[in-house]
Amino acid sequence: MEKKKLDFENLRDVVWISEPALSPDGTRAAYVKGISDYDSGQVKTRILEKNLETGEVWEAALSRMVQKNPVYSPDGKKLAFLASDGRPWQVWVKKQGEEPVQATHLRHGAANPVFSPDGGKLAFEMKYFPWEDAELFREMTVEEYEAFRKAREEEPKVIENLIYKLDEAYGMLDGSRTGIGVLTLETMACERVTPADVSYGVPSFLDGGKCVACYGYPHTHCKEMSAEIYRIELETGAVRQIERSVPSYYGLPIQEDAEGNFLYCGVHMDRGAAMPEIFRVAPEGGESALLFATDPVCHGIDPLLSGDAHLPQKDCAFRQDGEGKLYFLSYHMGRSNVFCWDGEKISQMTEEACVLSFDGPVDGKMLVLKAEWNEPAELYLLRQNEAGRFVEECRVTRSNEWLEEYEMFEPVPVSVRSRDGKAEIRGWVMVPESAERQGRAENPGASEGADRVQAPESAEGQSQAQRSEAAEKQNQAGAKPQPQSPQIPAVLDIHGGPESCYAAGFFYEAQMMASKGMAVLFCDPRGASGYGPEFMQDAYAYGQEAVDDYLEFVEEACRRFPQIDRKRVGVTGGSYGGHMTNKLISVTDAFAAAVTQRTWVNPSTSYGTGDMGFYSAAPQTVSFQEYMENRARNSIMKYVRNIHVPLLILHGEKDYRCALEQGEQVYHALRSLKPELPVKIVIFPGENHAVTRAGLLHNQIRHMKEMTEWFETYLGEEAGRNA
Amino acid sequence: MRKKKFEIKDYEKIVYVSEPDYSEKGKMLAFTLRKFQDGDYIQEVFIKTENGEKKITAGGRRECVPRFSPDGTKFAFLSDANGIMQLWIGECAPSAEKKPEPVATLAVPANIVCVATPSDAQVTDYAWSPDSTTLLWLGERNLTRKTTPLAWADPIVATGSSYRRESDGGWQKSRETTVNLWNLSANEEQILHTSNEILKNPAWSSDGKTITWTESAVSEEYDMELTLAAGEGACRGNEPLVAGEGACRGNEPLAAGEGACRENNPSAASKAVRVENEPLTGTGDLPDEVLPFVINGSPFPEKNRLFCGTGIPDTRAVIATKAGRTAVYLVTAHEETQTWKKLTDGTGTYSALCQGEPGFLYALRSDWRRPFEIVKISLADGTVTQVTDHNPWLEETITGNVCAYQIPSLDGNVTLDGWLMRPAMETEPEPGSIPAVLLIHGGPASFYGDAFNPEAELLAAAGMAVLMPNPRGSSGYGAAFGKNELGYDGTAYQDLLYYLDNALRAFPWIDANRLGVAGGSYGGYMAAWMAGHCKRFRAAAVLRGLLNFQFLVLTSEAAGQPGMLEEPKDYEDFLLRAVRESPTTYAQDMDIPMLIMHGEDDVCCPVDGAHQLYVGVKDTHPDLPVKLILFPKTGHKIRAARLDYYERYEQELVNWMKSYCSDST
Repeated sequence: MEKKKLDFENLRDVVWISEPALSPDGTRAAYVKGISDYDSGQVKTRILEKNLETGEVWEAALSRMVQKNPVYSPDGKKLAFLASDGRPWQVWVKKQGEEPVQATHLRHGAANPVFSPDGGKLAFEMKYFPWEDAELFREMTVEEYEAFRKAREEEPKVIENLIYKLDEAYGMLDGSRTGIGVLTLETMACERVTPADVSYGVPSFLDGGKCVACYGYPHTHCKEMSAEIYRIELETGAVRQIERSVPSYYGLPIQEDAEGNFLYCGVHMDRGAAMPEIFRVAPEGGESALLFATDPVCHGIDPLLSGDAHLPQKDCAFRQDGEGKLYFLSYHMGRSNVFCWDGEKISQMTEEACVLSFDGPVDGKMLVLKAEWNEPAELYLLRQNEAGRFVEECRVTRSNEWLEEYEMFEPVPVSVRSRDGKAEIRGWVMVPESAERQGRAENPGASEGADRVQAPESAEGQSQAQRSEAAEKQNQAGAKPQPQSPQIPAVLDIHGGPESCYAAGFFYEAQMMASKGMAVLFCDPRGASGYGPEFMQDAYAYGQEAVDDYLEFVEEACRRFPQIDRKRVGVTGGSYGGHMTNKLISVTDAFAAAVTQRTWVNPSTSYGTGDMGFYSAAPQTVSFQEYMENRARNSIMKYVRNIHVPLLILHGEKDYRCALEQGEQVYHALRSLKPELPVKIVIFPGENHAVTRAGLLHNQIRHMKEMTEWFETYLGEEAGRNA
Repeated sequence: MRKKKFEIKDYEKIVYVSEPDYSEKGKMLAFTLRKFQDGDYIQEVFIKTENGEKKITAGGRRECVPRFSPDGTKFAFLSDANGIMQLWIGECAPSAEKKPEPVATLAVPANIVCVATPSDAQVTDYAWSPDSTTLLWLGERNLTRKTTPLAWADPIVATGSSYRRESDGGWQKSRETTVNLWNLSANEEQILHTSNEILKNPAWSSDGKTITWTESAVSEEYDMELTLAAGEGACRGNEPLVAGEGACRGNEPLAAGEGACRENNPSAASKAVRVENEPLTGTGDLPDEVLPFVINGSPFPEKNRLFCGTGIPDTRAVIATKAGRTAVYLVTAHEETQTWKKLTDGTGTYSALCQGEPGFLYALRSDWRRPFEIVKISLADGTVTQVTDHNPWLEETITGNVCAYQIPSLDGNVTLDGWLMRPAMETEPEPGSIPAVLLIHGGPASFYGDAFNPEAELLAAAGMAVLMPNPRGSSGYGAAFGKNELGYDGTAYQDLLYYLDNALRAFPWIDANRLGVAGGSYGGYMAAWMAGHCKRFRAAAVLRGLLNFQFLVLTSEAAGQPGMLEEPKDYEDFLLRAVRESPTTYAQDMDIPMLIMHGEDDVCCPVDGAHQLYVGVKDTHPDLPVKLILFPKTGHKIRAARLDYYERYEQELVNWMKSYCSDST
């Protein structure tokens, strides 16, 4: 049967699953289901709970309320989540078998709720405004909230902190603070347990529920986002900062090990590369120690994935099973999986392509949220086998059956040695032809000689199924390939970061380009995360290494897939990817067209307009004037006059990471220097740096459409002839 | 009676008078009043005779631009009574023989009719034909229709040279503009020309055969050639000299009803020499500049005409400036030359002219004491008489406690002129007892003249002296003095500091240890530059400042507009030069408390510059009081923003100067 072709508008049909929570007895799975709402352009989320034994699904019947963040009480009898009808998020609690009841009535809402060990209390973040003289524990009515919101929008912004912008997290900081609140469920008594001096966040109950641990932000100036750990004794109300030497925290709840030490996630610096890892500190304070090094088995405790389309996830916490094992999410060899630390060594627990989140394990069962190249994230129940690995037992959700009628394109792993021989560049090529129609084009290299580095990677870590699949491909490759003349264009899709990496997840943007007949190339050059600290050096990402690695990957992809017309390869990317797009088209002739997204080209104007980078953040040997002059010298705008390929610039209006002015200056420079060159800018009103992930749907669709149509136009057959 | 100090709430009391127009037949003077009401402004049309003033209304909230027909039988005005600005006309007393009817007979509702204009096109300006039968009007329809459904905001898409415009609120609006004729007797309408550009200045030739207007294109080179033709009217820049007196546009006069000159002969219509770039020629009292930029004019858009006929053959009246002093001048054209005669005494500032009774003109005049009111000027001897007084509350308020102060510049090449406003003082103050603010004007092409200045009044009312010099780069003193580069190459900087130091010697009651520096736009650039380069000041206020030349060239509304700025060719050189010439680079040396205020939608001096300056100073000075205030949905002209924003803006400035300059020890 002829399959349908994906359209941009189909993005609205995708059902998004996220935030898996496995009940402590392993019988139920709670999760978030997101469905697109046309009018508002938002994905509206609801909480669902599935009984894993009976298959029954319960959905919160709270009309017109969006929900998120499901969390079970340790005895499994209650489920808490956040819900909102447009007013600030409040915590709701559902007892097993009953309908949910609103638990908090906070003026400015709650976040990050967590149960005490006996399930009798909830701790959460609560927002407040220091200058406000209002009842914090009384929810605003709809009218009051509307008036409050309008007044905040119209009020001139008064800024007196150094750090006042943080894209995605806050936008422009609004002068609010967060504190930790504790609610006793039986009496509904609610109080704020942190002082109103600085912000506190991400609470957790420790020491049998006797204390609440959280992060606080006591520092000022450029250190304002550096957190310290606090311990609040619930009985006495005493608040104590745990003195420790440390790296900045990473936003996950603090846990404790069997000995009562605090375990938290912090940013670990290794050979200049910074990745999140788990640290341990004694409860009285002291030196923090890395609990274990992930490298070389995997890299970091958060995969930092790019490309895969999914709802923004709550950061995946690491999980302890109570028997000395600690489970976490990480990345190895192009795949994101669950790993386990048993006190001595790390083992890989799952063998999937793209795990986004997990909960458990409980009784040998793990609830996993994973995506495939042809399916958005769904929930699966995995069971531990005799070998100790978790393998799929059954699906918990199947939300996107409609996709089965649509043609999708499988990314083929491709890797190549870097030009200087020092690194292996791994990536994928998505060819716009079904595997059958490709015939034997996938591995022509098999007949060309043995010096080429072959994908897939070594057999270790692969399941039986995967190994036989690989063998099948080898068999096919062994036969003589059909001669292929170059017919199709291709697009190199560069991820942001540069500390980020690709996995073969549900890459909608790439599927769209492939459905229009363009191959999509995506890879992890040096500077990417996931391949160890040596690979991740910033100097590579901004130096010749990354440039060479991308070019080498493109060459390899064209060698492997001769149907790609080398003269019709375009390049795109967002953020660091936008920077590299601009750089590549300024310093090479390798590409025929480009789309630069939320780009960064000029450090001398990004100082103060983007939310990162302060002179005082690191010891300086040069004056501020010299610092600003150096930022100008390092700008790739100095190469802008070399750009000679059609360029589309896409940017969010309220981007505080790479401000709009970065994209605009490229536009104006080229309009003035190269009036004949096709150059276009599209600015998305109200959107920030996450426009393609979390922006309004019509903007996400328009963004993809502009990009795809630009490449269709400028990588068309004529482009090849004129090149 | 003891006068009270000027305060921020007084700003709301100011009534702005504008757009005078006189009818000799009816002996009537029409004008517009703009005043604040309920946090916003309204506009009202009035007609004044010897019997008094009466409001003429179609029932709208904003009504303006009253103009009598040349035969005095009708008058017209704009009103938003039907939701958008449309043209309305009313009947006046018909003949000169009859005594003018009492004002009460005017504006009988039945007599006021709306000229049929399409419901979604607003009228932006209009002009009566010399024979009073036809109205020429300019219409504008906003084409920026949403292409996406529901509440979604459209992305901004651009492929042309520029897409920003300050006057459109940031993003350029797509518009359709038309030049239309409405014949009142035949009840006929005609569209002569359609465009996508902003149209202004509709005018008729005296024989009624030619009409002209100006078009402002932002994506093409557009200059106009206007020739000074003896007897036919002098033109200046893009503005015809007098409505009805003739002006030509390009070399091809337009025939009413025959269509646009621009289409018929675009190249001729697009060659131009702006008269303001050339030295004025002629004999007599030659001024330095004609039609100067009026400092502290009304914040509202006003259709004032800045020149008019006088009834004397070949002679027009025009507002011009010499050495920073504005006056009404008479210009008589003979053959190839002009003779200039200064009519008024050089005090006050004028911002509108219209012909009055024989031998007289009406004008808007302001001075340090009061905002613009209508005055009557005698053509014989320049005597000025007050005609309107819509701000009687000013009698009880201290304003205009100002003296002029001039010194030769340090290099001796020019005279530096300026003003000093004192706080109200009962007795002569002790030496070194009064703090002062150096208030730097924007531009740099503008100047402090003898005009009402509420911002300075607020600072003075708070007990601070305000020093307002016109350094080189300022307009009002001729082309050589006003060269733009002088504002940025160190000349203005030196002029300002030299002026300050001399003022401290001349006025020893100023406390040299309690000086603040403040300025808006170019003045913000200079205040920031001074904060980073000299040590005389205790506090700085950088307002709507031009703070990074990279933003000016690459992201402001000037970016991409040909002829506005020099486009860089070598970016490596440009970036480094821009960094060295931008004040923020010197943030490490800015160690005085600094207030930075900016409109978030400012595309003239992009708000990004304010963010950079704020971060730069804060980053390098953790303990210094530095405050950034951003006004939502506000552009470059904060005075034209919401009333409560403007009042907040001025209050913050005054409070900052008081806290860190005046009250500091």
